Amino acid sequence: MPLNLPVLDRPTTSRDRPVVALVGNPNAGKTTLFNALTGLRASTANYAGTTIEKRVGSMGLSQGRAEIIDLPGLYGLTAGTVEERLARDVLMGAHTEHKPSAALVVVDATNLARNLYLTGQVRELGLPMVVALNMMDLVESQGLRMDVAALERELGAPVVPVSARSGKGLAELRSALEATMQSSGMGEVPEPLRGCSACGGCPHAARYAWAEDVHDKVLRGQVALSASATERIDRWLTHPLLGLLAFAAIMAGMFISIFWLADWPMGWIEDGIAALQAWVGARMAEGDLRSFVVDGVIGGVGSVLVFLPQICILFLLICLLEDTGYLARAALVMDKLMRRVGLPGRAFVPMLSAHACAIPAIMATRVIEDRRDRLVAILVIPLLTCSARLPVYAMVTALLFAGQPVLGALVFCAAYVLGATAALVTAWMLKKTLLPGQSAPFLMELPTYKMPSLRTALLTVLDRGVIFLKNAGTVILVISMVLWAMSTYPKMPEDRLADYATPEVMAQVRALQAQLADADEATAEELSAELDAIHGSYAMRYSMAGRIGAALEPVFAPLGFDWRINVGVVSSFAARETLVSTLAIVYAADADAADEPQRLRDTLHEKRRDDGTAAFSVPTSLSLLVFFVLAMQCLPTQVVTRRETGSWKWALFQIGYMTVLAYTAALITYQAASQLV
Amino acid sequence: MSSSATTLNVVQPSPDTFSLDTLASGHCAIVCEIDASNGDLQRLQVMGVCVGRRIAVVKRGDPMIVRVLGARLGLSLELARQVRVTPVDRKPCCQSHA
Repeated sequence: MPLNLPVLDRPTTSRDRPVVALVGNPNAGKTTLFNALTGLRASTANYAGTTIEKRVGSMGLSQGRAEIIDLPGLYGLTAGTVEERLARDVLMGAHTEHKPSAALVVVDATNLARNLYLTGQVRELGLPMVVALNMMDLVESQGLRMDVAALERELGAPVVPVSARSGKGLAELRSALEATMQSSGMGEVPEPLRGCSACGGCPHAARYAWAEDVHDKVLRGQVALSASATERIDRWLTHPLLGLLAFAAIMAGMFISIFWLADWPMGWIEDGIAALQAWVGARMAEGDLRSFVVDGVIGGVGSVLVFLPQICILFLLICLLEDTGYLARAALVMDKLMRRVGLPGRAFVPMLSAHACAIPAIMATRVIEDRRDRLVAILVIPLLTCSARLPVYAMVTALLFAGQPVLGALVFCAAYVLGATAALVTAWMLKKTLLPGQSAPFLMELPTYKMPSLRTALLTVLDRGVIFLKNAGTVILVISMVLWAMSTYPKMPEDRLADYATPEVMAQVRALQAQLADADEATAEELSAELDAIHGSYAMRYSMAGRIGAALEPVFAPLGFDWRINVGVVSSFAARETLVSTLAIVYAADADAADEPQRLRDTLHEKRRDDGTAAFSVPTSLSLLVFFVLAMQCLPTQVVTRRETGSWKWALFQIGYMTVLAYTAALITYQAASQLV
Repeated sequence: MSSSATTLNVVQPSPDTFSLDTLASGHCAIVCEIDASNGDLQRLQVMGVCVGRRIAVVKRGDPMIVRVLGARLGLSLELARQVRVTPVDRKPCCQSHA
């Protein structure tokens, strides 16, 4: 290329495929229109060299197809933010081989004056342009009349009323686009609009004056009282006290729904994975390869898939809430509290998503414009309890408080609160030390309340789910395979068992072997299984993973962990949820016990360490819980942090400080609990 | 007490203007000047809080809610204090559809 322009990750279209750039205000219904025009033929990538998402899709015209690029939502093209500069660049042809064939501007008809500001700027670029006047159905239902022809005259561009949600007007939109792209040019920019940029004073002022002027000319009628329904609702939802209560109630409702709804699909996935493992296992010869495929690969894939329901449901609910317009109010209500710890109210939605999974949450911090604010949010988000920690919480809670569901639920909640508190305190400390400064002051549009679109939400969830699988899935799968290797090799020969097992266990083994000699077939199977389990547990000690666990004993002894728990802790640095199954193996619990929490808990509860003390005493269980709440045990998160912050420095800092925090907190917990219990 | 004079051209706020945060709920005004730093200034302008624009207070508080160009905006008091406005009579301005 003659010019040193940034190169797209994917090959650009050839000249025969026209490219349409979709621009508009946030909340104007741009995404809904994009989905309506492209259906499922869309994919998400990144603009080269940035973290800004680029959604590209393919839309059908009467002759052939066009590629449509969904630019980030913006209020203006004045190049104040990275998104604005990028959009301007795309419209001028800097990110593709040539300028887009047309610009499709989405205008929210219920907010005409505000939207016309951007429309005017795009018009002045001179590109072939079509305006999609969205939400016309809302305007009509409010008793207003829009003079579309007059608007076309003022803009000097075709205007097509549409309702992206219901699909009305899309056919007309497609033909208008085609006609515009095929015509020879846009003609002159109408005089009043042209005068704005020429104006010596504040260019914004002139353009806004123009926008309001056009608005007044084109819109007839008074807004019906329903518009102020938004204001009436806001009086409650943004009330200093009631707003917070409403917010707490909505959040509680959301989380409860997620856990309740996700239960079924999670159960199906677990059953499916188990069935697959059994099916494959029955068809392969016994040996390492079978173990690798069944436990390493299928087990690894399963451990990622099982979280998909919770993640998808959480995103679905967040999308729906956002579409109604409520989340902007939630950010407003939380802003004051969050600013005290140096976080902006805008960080609220990403931090909420973090309770499903930190990876999409860190990506969602892109909505935070201020760099310092964004960095703080990224650094503290992994402290919030994600879905992967829940199996560990459940196991520890059962160990501590089986049969006392109220106490168990309290411990569960306390774990969540601990994570959230740690995040807020850490943000505050970062503000005081490494990343000083005030958060950018709150400034956010509060869109009119409206009914959410299920279709848009589902398509977004699909997109996010795929991103999660690609980001987390691949890394976790690789790690599962490595872990499998580490816990299988080196293998312990039969005769070495005596080196590691205690005299009592050896006696038990000899007794079992004696029984096996003259047992019938049925009992023989049971006895063999028991022998295998004991052997398996010590084989773990012999393996690489076990040796590391043993080597770490002096490090983790003050926390109340022994080598077996260490193996679990080390392996869960790759993926948290593996702790439960790892502990099941290493404590020689029944092979199936890991799937039945009650049975596993009963087994683990009875286990004794080599020195006779209880394996899971109360102090140990508590310190294990605290460790898991705070530790950074998710390598994919580091990868995403590095990508979003642009350097490994912050990713390493993240895992460093969290490890120190987790260790210290667990240490204090164990020592304190040992004194008290 | 004048505001801190860290910029070269010290501008005393015009005597008959008020800062946005002092406006009562439901009242309208026209923006006269904005005393913000460059970054904040651009953010305010691109959202419509610009010299000459009509602005109405929907709800006081921190952050407060205002209406500009027919759209609802939440903004923190810190920013509101930097926006100077001239109040106008309620009647002709800031009808719901404006």
